Amino acid sequence: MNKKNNLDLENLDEIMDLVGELLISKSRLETLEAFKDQDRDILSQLDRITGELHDKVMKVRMIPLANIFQEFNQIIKASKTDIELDIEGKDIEVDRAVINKLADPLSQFLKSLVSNIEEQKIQENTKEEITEEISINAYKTGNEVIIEFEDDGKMIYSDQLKEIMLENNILSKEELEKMSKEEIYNLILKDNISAEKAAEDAGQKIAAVKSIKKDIEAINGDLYLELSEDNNLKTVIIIPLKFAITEALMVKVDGDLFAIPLEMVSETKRIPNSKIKKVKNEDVINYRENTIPLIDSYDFLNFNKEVESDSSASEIEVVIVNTGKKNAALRVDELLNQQDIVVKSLGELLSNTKNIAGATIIGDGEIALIIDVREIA
Amino acid sequence: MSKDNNDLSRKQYITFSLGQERYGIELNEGKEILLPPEITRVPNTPDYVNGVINLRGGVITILDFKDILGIEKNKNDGYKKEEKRIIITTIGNITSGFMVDQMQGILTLAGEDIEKENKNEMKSEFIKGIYTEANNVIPIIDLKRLISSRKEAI
Repeated sequence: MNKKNNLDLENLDEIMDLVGELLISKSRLETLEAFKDQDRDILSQLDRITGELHDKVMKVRMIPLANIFQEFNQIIKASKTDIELDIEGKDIEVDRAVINKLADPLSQFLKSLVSNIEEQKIQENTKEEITEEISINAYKTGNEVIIEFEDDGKMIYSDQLKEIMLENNILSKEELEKMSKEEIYNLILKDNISAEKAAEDAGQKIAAVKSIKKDIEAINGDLYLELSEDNNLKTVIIIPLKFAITEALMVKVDGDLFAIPLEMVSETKRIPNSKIKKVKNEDVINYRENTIPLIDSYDFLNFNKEVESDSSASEIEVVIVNTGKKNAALRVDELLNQQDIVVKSLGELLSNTKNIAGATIIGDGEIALIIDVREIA
Repeated sequence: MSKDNNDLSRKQYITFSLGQERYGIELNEGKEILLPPEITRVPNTPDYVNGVINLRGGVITILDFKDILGIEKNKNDGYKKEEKRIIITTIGNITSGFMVDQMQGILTLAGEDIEKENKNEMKSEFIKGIYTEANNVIPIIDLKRLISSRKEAI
C-alpha cells in the first residue's frame, strides 16, 4: 500500500471526535435566544466553517477502494490460467482504517479463488482455452459498503453439503428439506461444521470463505453466500463504515428520537384511518397501486404500546420505506425534520442488535438510534 | 492489618454497593466515574442492557451489574438517586459503563487477602475471589470474563 496513506489514524480519530463536538456546540449556540437577528451572520459564518472543516476531515480519512484493487490486477497477472477480472466500484471511498485492515484478507481471498480455478483446470485437463471470469462488485448502502465476489470456478454442490449434514447428524432430513439452497450454502460458514474435508473438490474455497469471514467479523462486518443469476456462488462481504455521514429522516416513537437513513425512505405520508385494511389479519395500505404491509414501529422496536393514546386521531403518520426488494409503511408517532447525521457504531456489545443500525448524536447531545428497516417485511 | 509496601501483588480495588451487598472491581479496569447522564434505551436488547449514553461524543453501552450477577432489585433499597454512579470501564478494546447504587471507596489488597477457594459459594460465575473484612464480604467481579461473555450473548 501507498506509504503516504499511512497517516496517524489515532490522531485523525481524535480530530474527528473534536470536530464532532464542535458541531454539537455550534448547534447549541444556534438555539440561544441571545443570538437573534443582528448576530445571525456570525453564526452562519461559524456554520460554514465548521461544516467545511468537518467535510475536509472526513475526506482525509477516506480513500477509494482502488487502493486495494490495484493489487488484484497483479494477482491475476501472476496466474498461469487465463482469467478475466471485472471490477465495479473502484471509486467507492472507505475509511483508511478499514482499507488497512481489509487489503490483506481480500487479496488472500482473491488468491484462493484464483488457485481454485487453476486446480480445476489441471483436473479437467482440457486443452480448450476458456477464459475464466472473476467479477467483483462494490457498492455503498447508507452506512455500509458491500463487496461481492463471484467466480465461475469450481462449484460447491448443495447436494454434497446435504449429505455431509446428514452423515454427521448435524441436521435431520426434515430440517434440510425446509431450507432453501442458499440457507444450505450458508451452513458451511458455521464453525462447528467442517465441510472442507468432505467436500473435497471445493474444500479450498470453503476454507478461504471461512478464513475471510473471521477477518471481516473482526472489523464488525458480515459475510454470507448467495446464488447469483448464473447460479454461481457469490460471496457477499458487508463492511460497516465507522464515520459515515448520511441524510436521515428523524421520527419520534414513544417519546424517543430515531433516525431513518434517507436511502431507505421512499416518502412520508399521512394516511386516514379508513384506508387501513386487513389482509390475513395483518394491517396493509395501498401504495402506488400496490398493497404494502403497515408495520407499527412499537412492534418493530418491541416497545409496549399503552392504550391507544390518540384513538380519536383520524390520520396516522407513516414512512414508506424501501428495503431494496419491497416497500413497507412504518407507522410512527411523529414525523420530524430531515438532517445530516454522523453514523456511530453502537459498539461491540450491541452492534448486532436487531433492527438498529447504529446511533447518532444530535444538536443538544441527545442520542438518536438509527433504525435498520431491512428486515421490516 | 500491616502490609508490606513492596509487595508486588498488591492491587487497588474500587468498591461500591449493589443493593444490600458490596462488590469490587480492579481499579485499573475503571476509567472514570460519572453522575448518570440521560440513558437512551436500546430496543431488542437483553434486560441487563440499560441503554447507551453520550460520553463526549462517543456512544457507550451501559450494563446493569444487578441483572448480570443476579442481585435482587428492590425499589426501596434506601439509595437516593443522587448517590447512583456509572463506572466507565475499558476491557480489551471494549468501553462500557456499569450502574452502581453508591460508591464505597478504594481498597488496597494483597493477593492472599482475596479468597479464591470459596468463590464457588457465590451464585455467579463472574466472581474471581472474595475479600472478607470483619463483617464485610466483598466479592471481586471478574470484568474480563463478564464482558467477553456479553460479547457472545448479544
